[in-house]
Amino acid sequence: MENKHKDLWEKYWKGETSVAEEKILFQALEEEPEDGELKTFYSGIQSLRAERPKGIHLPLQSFLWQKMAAVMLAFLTVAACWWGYRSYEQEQEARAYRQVVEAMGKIQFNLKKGTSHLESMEKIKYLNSAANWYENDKNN
Amino acid sequence: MKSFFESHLWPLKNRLYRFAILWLKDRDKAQDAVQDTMYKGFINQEYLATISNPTGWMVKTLKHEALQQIREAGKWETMDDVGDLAMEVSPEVDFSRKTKMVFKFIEKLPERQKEIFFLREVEGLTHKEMATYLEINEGQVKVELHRARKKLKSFLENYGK
Repeated sequence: MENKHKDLWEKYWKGETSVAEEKILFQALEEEPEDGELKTFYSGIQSLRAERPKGIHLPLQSFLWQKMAAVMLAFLTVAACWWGYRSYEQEQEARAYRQVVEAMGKIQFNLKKGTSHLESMEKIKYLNSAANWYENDKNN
Repeated sequence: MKSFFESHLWPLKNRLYRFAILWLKDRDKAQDAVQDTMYKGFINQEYLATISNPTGWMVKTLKHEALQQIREAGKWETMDDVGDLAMEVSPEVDFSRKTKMVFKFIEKLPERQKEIFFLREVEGLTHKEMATYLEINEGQVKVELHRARKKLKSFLENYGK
């Protein structure tokens, strides 16, 4: 194996070969019929050379996606705040209305209470008329 | 028109992924590390367009991400700086026997040699390109590559014995 390119291999082990010369050596190694340690080692190197990433995405895409997600999230937050505020406002209005109705009810109840107390006074108003009736009967 | 990110940084993804595999030895983790690195590159593209070596910046960021992944997995003991990735991480089970042999050898190398050897043998980068990737000078690249290959020769001679 090494006889064919002995000088080149010597150069290789010294780290003096160029990339082009190394290509020649590895090509010759591949054509070797026997599986020596060197050939096995370079098959391992070949396998590593063939390694490619499968799921790396261009950051631009993820960046755009993140931007869109951020805008969407901001929009949803604003919408949720606005909806929450509207609900709070409506709830406050309804509460105020209920309180007014309750207050009116109380006023009405108290007014009614006053009127019922005055009912006995109404009777007193007619006491004289009863006496009159008695007087009239007596005269007749 | 393509942005700086699309024209200069995005094309690095395959190489960065394989580089991440070197450190993490796990495809999913390597993918996550590269995705995070790409995102950082995207965010900082305006700054990266002004510096002389954006590739070096990406590699450094990837290294940092890989360290973070290892740290999260609890597979580290002490860590002094970002350059220290020489910790034991077992390869993912579905790597082939041949690939595991490569990992077995690479694990024995010091950190810098490991990176240089990998960039040359797997990525086929020139000395100049490797120097750019690792932000070191070409002379250092040549010396480390020579040492790594010397170790490879001895590793292969003793392999299986």
